[in-house]
Formats: sequence, structure tokens, C-alpha cells
Amino acid sequence: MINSVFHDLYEKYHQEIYQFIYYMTRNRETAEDLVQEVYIRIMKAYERFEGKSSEKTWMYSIARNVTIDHFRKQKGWKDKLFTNFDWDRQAIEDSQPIPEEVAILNDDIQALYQCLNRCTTNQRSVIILRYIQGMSITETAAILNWSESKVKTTQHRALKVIKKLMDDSSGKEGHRFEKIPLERK
Amino acid sequence: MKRSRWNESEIEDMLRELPKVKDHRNKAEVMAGIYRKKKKKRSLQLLAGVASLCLMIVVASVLMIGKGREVSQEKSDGSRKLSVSESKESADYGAKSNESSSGDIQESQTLTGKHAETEAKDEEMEIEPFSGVQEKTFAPAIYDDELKNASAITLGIPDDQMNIVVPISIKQESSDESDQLNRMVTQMSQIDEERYGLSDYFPLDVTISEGIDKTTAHIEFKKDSPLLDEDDLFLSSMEETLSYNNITKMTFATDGKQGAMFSHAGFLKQLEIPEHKHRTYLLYQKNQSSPRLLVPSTVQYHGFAEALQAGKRQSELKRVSPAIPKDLVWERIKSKGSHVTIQLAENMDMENSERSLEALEAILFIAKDFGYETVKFEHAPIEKVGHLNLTRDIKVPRAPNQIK
Repeated sequence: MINSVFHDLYEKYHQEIYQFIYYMTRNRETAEDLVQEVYIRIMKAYERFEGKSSEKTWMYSIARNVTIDHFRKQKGWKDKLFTNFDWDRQAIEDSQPIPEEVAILNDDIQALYQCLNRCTTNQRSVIILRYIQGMSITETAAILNWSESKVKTTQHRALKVIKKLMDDSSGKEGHRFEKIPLERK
Repeated sequence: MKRSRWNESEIEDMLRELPKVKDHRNKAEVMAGIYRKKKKKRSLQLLAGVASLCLMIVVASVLMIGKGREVSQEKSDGSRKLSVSESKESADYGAKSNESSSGDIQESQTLTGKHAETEAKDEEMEIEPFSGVQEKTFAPAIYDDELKNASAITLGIPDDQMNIVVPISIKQESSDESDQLNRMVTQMSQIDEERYGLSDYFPLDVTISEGIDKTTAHIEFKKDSPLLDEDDLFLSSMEETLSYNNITKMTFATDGKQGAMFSHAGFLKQLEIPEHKHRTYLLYQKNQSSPRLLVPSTVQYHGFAEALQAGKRQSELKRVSPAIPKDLVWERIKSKGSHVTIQLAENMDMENSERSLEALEAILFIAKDFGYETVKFEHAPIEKVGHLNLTRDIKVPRAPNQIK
């Protein structure tokens, strides 16, 4: 990739693309690695970028695909390794350390952060793009290559799932979510 | 009933409060990381290339040795044939293992060589729990003669992109039609839409019960139900669903009060479900591993002949294709009462195949949409397509896209 393209994209979008990948994967090292992969893919495809979508939308689409590839690869080796075990995969993922930025916020926000991980990949993508990245319905639809109608429905469903999980957790005695370790930077 | 501690707008506000997370590396560090990653990839590709070359050499030499042995054994006595076959087996095994390894290598090369333009394929493949085990063929209709001791439940489910509503039918053992509405609601919570390449839409956050009579469905919304905002999709889905389940009218209420305020349709207390919608039928298929399904068009047509012709046209919608092939040609269409005769062109080719069945069933459903009850195909080049007997009048099917 021409250095100037990297510099330009880095200045404009690096932190938000990193944040998107971070919230999708909930792991700093993974996000750091995957954001690099995003640049590598851009490098390969930049000359063919036709400008049909905005540069930002295009970069987000690549980031999402890189993330999904990561999940797929992860799922692949875990399936091979744990074929005969009835492991609670969700529990494994939930043990990811909570980021310091979230840990200093109130319990409800921390609980919400945990609930987000219980949504499906599609639901999580929509919620992150809409509420954390602040994208419009149209932008989200373009990034996901979905119809706006699908974005709206998935968003409503995701909110419903999160609301239910929050209600369920607040119904339990004591801590709503098990204490999880604080991430060390 | 326990009240929820949060409402959706509070959840939305809290989501917006989630903190910004930053990459603490600087630009130079990120760039260095990219170069390291690229270098690692190149080494892996090189390694994979060398590995595949080595494998090819090994396999080639095994094959050559095997062949050599075979030749020498043919010259010697027949008592050593066993070792020849062993040698062949090992050569075959070598070839097979080479095949799978190069497959792996190819996959790793594809993964590393992929770029954004090809990512659309990723979308298609994305975490499909039933990918590879789904039905891949056409899902035929349910006909009256199949329902002597059974009944059919049909659900109108939005496609993967939520642009169109695809009717899916399930045959059930019970023939008690008085309980149809309850069974329909139960089916809504049991259906696994994604298995058929459709959107996960049901169950809906509404209460559906019998209205003032057996042909009315009463739908109760909660205040602020998102379905009121997405009313186009909701009403299309309900119309499609209920029309197949002997319902001709919907009445609405919100939090116990009569009527519902829809974003697009406005305030409605009730809505009649038209019996005949004058649509054409097309084919929907999400991907190669999902079944091909007949889907009614979103547009209506003035006449039956026009709708039939529209069944041959390419749709602008993703994953929707014509159900009737261009080479299925008719010369004349005559109708009398609830019967329609379609005179096919003479010397036309038709095979007893799934594709022909799709086309004929699409025609039967278009006829049904125009109120016809029986259809006769004249000059049909063959007598039967699937279970359809083309020498006789064919009764239009009860419901499309039977799934099991």
C-alpha cells in the first residue's frame, strides 16, 4: 500500500475501526491484530475500490468481514479440539477481561457490556454500529450489505434480547454478573 | 406480571454511554505490526508452497515406484499380486492425502489472498448453523388430496433481506380446523426460519387470538411495539400467514384499547385480507444450501396473462429469480368461471423435472391468486410432471413450499 493511503486512512478511521473490532471481539490483542489485517486487505483491494460506497463504509465492511473470518477460524479449531466435550462456549468467551474503560463505570453499564456478548454476531454488529459507533440506519445497512428493514428489525430484536438479559440478571440475588477480572493494559 | 426494570430507550441510552476504546499504539507501531504480519504471511505462503512441492515429489515418486512394481510383477508369477494391490493402495492413499493437504494449502492461500471485493461471499457463508445439511431442492406445494387426515399451517416469513414475504407450509397430523389459529401461533414459535434461508422473524411480540368470529384474528400490541414502526413488513407477513389459515380479517388493539397506530398505515382498528391478490410467483433461494421457494411478487397485475408473463421476468430483488422459464410458451389462455385452460405451444419441450414442477406450480399459484380453482394445460408434451397429471384438470394447490 502506498504509505500516503495508510496515513490518510489511519488518521481518519483508525481509532473507530479499532473500537468497532474491539467491541466485536472484546479482546485488545485480537483487535490490534485484526485492525492490521484490515489494512492488509485494503492494500490488496485499494486499486479496485470503485467508490460505489464511501471510503468509511468500505473500511467498516472489511473490518466486519475480517472479524467474521476470525470467529470462523476460531470456531473451526475449537470444534476440532472439543468435538466430544460439552463445553459451555459462552462461559469461555465471558471470561474475557473487562476493559478498564468499562470497569470504572456503574454496575448497570458493566452488566450491559456483558449482555452485549450474549447477542448473536449480527445483533452485536448492529448494536455496536448504531449505538457505539453512532452510525445511521442507512450507513449500517451499507456496511452490512443489508436492507434498512433488516437493520431495523435486527436492532429491535437485539434491544429486546439485551433488555431481557438485563431483567434476568437483576432478578438474581447478589451480583447480577459474576465478577470478572479487570484487564491490565 | 413482573415489570421490567428498564425500558428500551433506557437501554439505548446506556449503550450510547459505553466508553470509547482506543488503540494505544502509535501510527509507527501499527505500521510495523502490519509489516510483521505481512512478512509472516509471506513466510507461511512460501512454506505452504514448499510443502506442497515436497508432497507432489513424494506422491509422484510413490506412484512411479508403484507403477514400476506393477510392471515387474506382471512379468513375474501371479502369486505376488497381493503386494501389488498393497502398493496401489498406498499410492492411492498418498494421492488422497496429497489432495487434502493441497486443499488445506489452497484454503490458507485463499484466506490470506482474499480481499475486500470478494467479501460478499463471506456474508453468504456467515455463521450459518445449518449450512451444508439443509434441503437444497425445490419445496413442492401441499394439495387438498394430501390433507384427508391432516391440515396445513402456512407462515409468511420475510426473506433474508426482509424485502419480500415467503410463505412456508407445514403439514400437521391434526385435521381439526377449529384449532387452526392456536396451532398457527404455536408453529410461529417453533419454526427455524434461517434453516430455509429466511429471516428469524417469529415469534412476534404480539398476542394473536380468535376475534369476533372464526374468520377474524385479533392482534394485541404492546405500546411502543417495534412492529408498529415496521408495519409494512408486519402487515404483509400477517396477511400472507392468515390468508392461508382461513382468516379474512384482522382486528387490532394496543394495551387493551381498540386500534393500533401504525407508522405507515396510520391508525387502524381492522384490516380486511383480500382473498385474491393478483400477483405473480417467483423463486427465492438464499444460497446453494437452502431450498428453492416460490414467493409472490410485491406488485399486482391486472390480468392473469400479464401475471403469467411477469413470472418469466428477472427480478431486481436479490436472490429472487424467475419461476417460469422463457422456453415455456403458451399460445392461448381461456377461462370459464373458476376454470382456466392454458394452451401450451405445440412442439414445446418439457421434462419431468424439478424445474418443470417449479414452473407449473408457479402457474398454479398465479391462477389461485386470480381466483381460479382448476387449471388445464393443453398440448402438454408429457403426461406427468412430478405428481401433476397434465392430461387432466389440476386443482390449484392448498399452500406453497412444504417443509418438513
